[in-house]
Amino acid sequence: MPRFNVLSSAILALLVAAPLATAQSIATNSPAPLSTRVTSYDIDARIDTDKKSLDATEVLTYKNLTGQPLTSMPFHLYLNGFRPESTFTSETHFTGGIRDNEKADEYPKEKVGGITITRIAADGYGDLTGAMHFTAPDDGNMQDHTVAEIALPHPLAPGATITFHLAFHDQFPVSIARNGYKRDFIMGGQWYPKPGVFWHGAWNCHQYHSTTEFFSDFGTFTVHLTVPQRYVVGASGVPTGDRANADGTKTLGFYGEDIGDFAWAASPHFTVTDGTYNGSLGPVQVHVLALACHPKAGPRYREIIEKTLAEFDRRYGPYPYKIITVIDPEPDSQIGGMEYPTLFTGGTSWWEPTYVTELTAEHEFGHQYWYGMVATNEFEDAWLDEGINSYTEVNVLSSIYGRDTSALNRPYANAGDYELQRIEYALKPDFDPVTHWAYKFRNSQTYSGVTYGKTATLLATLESIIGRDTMDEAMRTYFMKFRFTHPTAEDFLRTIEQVAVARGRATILPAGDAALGVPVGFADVPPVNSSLRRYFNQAVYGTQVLDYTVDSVTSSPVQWWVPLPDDKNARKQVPYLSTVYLHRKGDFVLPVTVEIVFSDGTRLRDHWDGVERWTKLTYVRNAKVVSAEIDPDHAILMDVDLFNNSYTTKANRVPARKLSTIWASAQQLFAQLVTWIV
Amino acid sequence: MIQQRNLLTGGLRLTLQSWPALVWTYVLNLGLAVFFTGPLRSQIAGITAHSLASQRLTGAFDLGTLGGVIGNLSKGPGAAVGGTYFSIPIYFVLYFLIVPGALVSYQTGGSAQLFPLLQSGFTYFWRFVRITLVTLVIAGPTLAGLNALENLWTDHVDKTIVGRPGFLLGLAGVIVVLLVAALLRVYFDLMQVYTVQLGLQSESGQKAGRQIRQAFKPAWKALFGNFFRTYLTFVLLTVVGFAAVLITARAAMHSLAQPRVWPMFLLAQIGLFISLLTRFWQRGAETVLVLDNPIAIEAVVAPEPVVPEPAAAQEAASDGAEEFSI
Repeated sequence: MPRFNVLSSAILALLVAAPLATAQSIATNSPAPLSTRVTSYDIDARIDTDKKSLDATEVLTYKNLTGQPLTSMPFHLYLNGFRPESTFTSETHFTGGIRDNEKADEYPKEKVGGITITRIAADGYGDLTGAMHFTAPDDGNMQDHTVAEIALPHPLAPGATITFHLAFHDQFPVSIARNGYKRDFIMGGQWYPKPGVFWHGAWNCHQYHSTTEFFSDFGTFTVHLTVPQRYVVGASGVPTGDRANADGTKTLGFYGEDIGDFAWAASPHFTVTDGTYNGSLGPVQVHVLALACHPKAGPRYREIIEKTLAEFDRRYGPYPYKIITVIDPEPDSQIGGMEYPTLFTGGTSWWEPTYVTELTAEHEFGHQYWYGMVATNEFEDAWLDEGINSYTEVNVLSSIYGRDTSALNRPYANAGDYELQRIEYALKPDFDPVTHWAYKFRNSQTYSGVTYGKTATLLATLESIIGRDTMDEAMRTYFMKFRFTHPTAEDFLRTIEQVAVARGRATILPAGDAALGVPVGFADVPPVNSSLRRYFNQAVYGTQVLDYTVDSVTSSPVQWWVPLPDDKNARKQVPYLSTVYLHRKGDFVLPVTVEIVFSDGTRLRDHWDGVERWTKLTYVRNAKVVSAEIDPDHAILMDVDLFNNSYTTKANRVPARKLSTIWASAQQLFAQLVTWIV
Repeated sequence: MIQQRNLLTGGLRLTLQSWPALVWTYVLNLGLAVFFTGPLRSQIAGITAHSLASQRLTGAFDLGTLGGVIGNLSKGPGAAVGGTYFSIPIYFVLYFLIVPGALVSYQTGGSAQLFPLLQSGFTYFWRFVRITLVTLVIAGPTLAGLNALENLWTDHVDKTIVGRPGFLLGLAGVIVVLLVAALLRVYFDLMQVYTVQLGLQSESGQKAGRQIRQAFKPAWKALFGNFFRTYLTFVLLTVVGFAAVLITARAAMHSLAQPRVWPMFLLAQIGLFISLLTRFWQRGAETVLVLDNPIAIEAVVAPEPVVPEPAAAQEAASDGAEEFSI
C-alpha cells in the first residue's frame, strides 16, 4: 500500500491550500506569485532505468494572455532532435555543435532518442491527436520533428484557459547534448511536450539547433517521478514527498512555481551534501547530489554556491527560490554544465586541481538569473543569457578568488577567468555580431567565441567606460525590472543607458546624430539615445575589431647637432624631443588613454579620440621616453592584441627565453621518445 | 663457461666507460632543439620583448598572457613553429648512427668520440635500418592488436567503474601494453647487439642480411634464457628514466613563475639527460648479456669453419669476460 510520511502529507496539504491563501509559497520565499503564470503542468512519469525511457501523462493548463484568439498551439519536442534526420544532428554533423559532434557517416543506434505523443486531448476540444502535425518554422526540414503544431478546432478566446491531457513516451539517447543517459545515470532535460511562447504578436517556437538552447513561459510544475528504489533523484522545485511502491519502485513528488522549465536527474550513486544560505528573501537550501566517485565534489559545489548566492544577492538582487539543486553529472557525459530552473549540472572529475569545478558551478548558477528569472529568448538573443552570465561569472569569481587567479591559482602559474573569456573572443572577433540568432552564426566556434567571450569582454570594457558602480547599478536595475519577463537586447542596452545618463556617465545625443544608428527589435524601455550608442553600434551590433598599437617611440635631443655633454648631471639638463606614434589598426573607434613614462620617472597621461587612423604625441622634456602604453589601466579588454598596446625601450627577453626553453625541452623529450623505435 | 654478471652494474660500467657516446647524443639533441627553436624564440621576442604586457610572463606565468602569445604566433606565417620540428628527424637519423657506434664501443672498448661513433654508425647504418623495419613489422601489429584489446578493456571498465578506480584500471591496461612493448624492445635491442657482435667477428665481408638473420635466434635464447633479470633490468631502467623526466618536469614547472630561466632549463635538462642515460645503460646491460652469451664462433665463420684448439677457444672466451668483469 502506498505510504506517505507525515512531513510529505503536510507539505502536500500546504501545496493544495496554497492557491486559497496568501500564505508563504512552499517553493519560493515570496509571499506573492513572482511571475505571470501562463502554464501549469501536472506530470506523472514512470522511468524505466533499464530501457532508458519513460512513459508519462501530462495535464497542461495554458492561459491565453496574448490578448487575441489563438487558433493553434505549437509544442517543442526537443528529444526528437537526437535522430539523424533532425536539423540538430545535421548542423552538428556539418558545422559542429557545442557538445558531442556526430561526424561519422553512421549514426549510432544508442544515440537515437525521441519523444512520441501517443494521445493529446483538451477539455472542450476533444481528442486532438489527429490534429497534430510536425512543422519546421526555421529551415523547412519536415523530418526534423522537434516542433509539432496542433490546430485547434475552435479558437481559444483571449483570457480563456485550455487544459490539455497528453500521454507521451520518451526514449533517451546516450547523452549528446544536455540530457540522455550515461551508464546508469539519466538526465531528464527537455523531456516533456512544452508549448512555445506567444511573444511580440506571434508564436515563438523554434526548432532545436546544434547551438540553441530554450525559451518558455513561466508557470507551475507538479511532477511525480517513479524510479527504482535504489535511485536518488534531484529535480527542479522542492521535493514534496515520496512513497515506496510494491513493485520495488518509489514515487517522488516535486513542486516548482514561477519557473519556465522542469528537469530531473537520477543516479544510484548520488551522495547528498546540503547547506543553507540565508538570503535577503529567506533561507535557500543548497542541495548537492554528487557522485560517489567524486568524493570532494559535494563540499566544493556547496561552498562555491553559497558564496555565489551571496555575491548575486549583493550585486544583482535576491534569489527567491527555496532551493537550488546541484547535479554532479556522470563522467564523460555531455550532460555537465547545463542550467535548468532551480537545478543545474556541474562538471568535475576525481582529480581537479583548478577552479574549473567552481567556475562551472558558478556559471550554471548564474543562469538562474540570466535565463531562469530574466527569461530571454535563448534562440534569438543567446548573448543575453550566456554572454551576460559570462560577464557576471567573471566578476563574481574575481571577487571570490581574485581577478588574475579566478581560473587557476597555483604557485607556478595562474589564470584569470576574464582572460579566458577574452581569448575565446579574440580567436573569432569579427565573424558575427553578438546579436545574431544562435543558429545563424557561422559555426559553433564563432557562436561560442562571440556569444560567451565577446559579450563578457564587451561588457567588461563597458564597465570601464561608465564605471563599475554604474555598471553594477545598471545590472541590478535590469535584473529587478525584467525578472520573470522576456526582455530583449534593447531592453538591456537602454536600461544601461538610462542608469549611465542618470549617473552622468553618458549624455543624451541630439536627435539625428549619426551615432544613434537604428534601434533593433522590440523593447519595453523607450529609446534613450545616449552617447553609449557609438559603443553599442560597434561592440554589440557590429563586427568591428578593436586593435590599437603603439607604433613607435623615439627620443632625440632637441639640439641634435650639439654633442652630448660628458658630465652625467649635465646630460640630465639636455632637452629631448620625444615622439610617440599611435595607430588604430582595427575599424573599432574608441577614445583611449595613453601613459608615457620618462626616464626621470615622470608619468604623463594623454587622451586620443581614435577617430583618425593614427596620431602623433610629442613631448619636449629633459628626459627620454622609457615607455608608452595605451590603456594603462588595462580596462579595454576588447582590444584583440594587448601586446602591441605598449612599447618599452628596455627590452625584456625573459618571456621569449622562458617559452622557447619550454618548447625546446619538449622537443628534446619528443625526439628521445621517437628514438625508442630504434 | 658462461658467466652471469650483474646486468645493472655491468651495464652502467660500460655506459660510463663509453660516456662520450651518451654525451654526444645528449648534446646533439640539445643543440638541434636549441638551433631549430631559434626562429621561434625570435618570433616570441618580437611579440614580447618591448611590450609591457609580457611582464606577466616574467615574474609570473600567466596563462592568459601565454594564450595571447600563442594567438599572436598563429597570426604570423607559422614557419617559426613548424620549423622547430625539423630537429626531430635529424636527431632520429643521427641516433641511427650513434647507437651502432656506441654498441661497438661497448663491445670493443674502443673510442666513443663522435668521429669513431659515426664511422661505426655508417658501417652498421643499413643493418640497423633493417632491424628497425623488422621491429616495426612485428611490433606494429602486435601492439596494434594489444591496443585494440586495451580499448576493449577500457570500454569495459568505463561501462561500470568511474573515478579514480576507473582511471587506475584503465591505466593498468595501458601498463600491460607498455610491458609488452618493453619486451619487444629488449628483444630487438639484443638483436642489434648481436648484429654488431657478428659484424665485429666477421670482418671478411659476410652479408649484412645474413648477420641480421643470424641474430634472431641468439637474441631469443639470451632473452628467454635470462628472462627475469634481463627484462626486470630493462623495465627498472625504463621506469627510472621516465620517473626522472616526470620529477624534474614537475620541479621545472614550479620554477615557471621565476624571472630567471636557468633553473627551469637546468631541471628539464637533468631529467632529459637521466632519461637518455638510462637508455644507454639499458644498451650496456644488454651488451653485458650478449657478451656473456656470445654466438658460437662456428656459426659465424663461414664458409670454411676453423675449429680452434679447445684451450685457445676457452682463452678467447675468457678474454672478453675478463675485460668487463666486475
